[in-house]
Amino acid sequence: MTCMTVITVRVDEETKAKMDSVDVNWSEVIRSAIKRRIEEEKRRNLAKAVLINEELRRPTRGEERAEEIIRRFRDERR
Amino acid sequence: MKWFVDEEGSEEALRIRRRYVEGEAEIVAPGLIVFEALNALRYKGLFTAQEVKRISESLDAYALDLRTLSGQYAASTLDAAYENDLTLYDASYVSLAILEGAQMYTADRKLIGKLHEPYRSCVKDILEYA
Repeated sequence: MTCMTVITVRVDEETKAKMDSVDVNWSEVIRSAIKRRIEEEKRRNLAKAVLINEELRRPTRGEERAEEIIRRFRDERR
Repeated sequence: MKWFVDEEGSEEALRIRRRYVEGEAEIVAPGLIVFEALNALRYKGLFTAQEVKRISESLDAYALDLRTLSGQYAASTLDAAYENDLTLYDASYVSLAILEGAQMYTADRKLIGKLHEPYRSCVKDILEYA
């Protein structure tokens, strides 16, 4: 069995009232959000991201722009 | 995509990137953005398969806040799609901006042209990014 530690999160009264008005397990929501943020932080390596980005960035050769390619594929899937 | 290819809107997109890297701005996007970015870069014809894999590594290392379409986000996306006659792909970006109280920037003027309020106010042309 995992030993759980208690943490406290403060919210304003309006938010608390909204939280009380819906049937949600807020502890689980907060646990999931914390886990997701930890995973993001573990993946985050901005120096590496920018290094690869700058190494590969290149000028257009006049081909379709990014938004035109995306638009074409989105419209084809309609 | 405009971070990887210099074309119209790249200058503004790189300003967004700089602010993100320096911790001055957050970037939230649908998980779909990774598929669309890598697919567009593939079909640009400027990169080898190996280079697109490296770009995927780079995107992963940026660790953008990517959201899965579920719950309230899915419901809001469907609302945005029906109310503005959009594909769900388009609507997933717009509804996320609404839910997060964020500003969405896009180079897709066709999308901007289809939006009604309150969606229209959340979306700006990327060329307007200062």
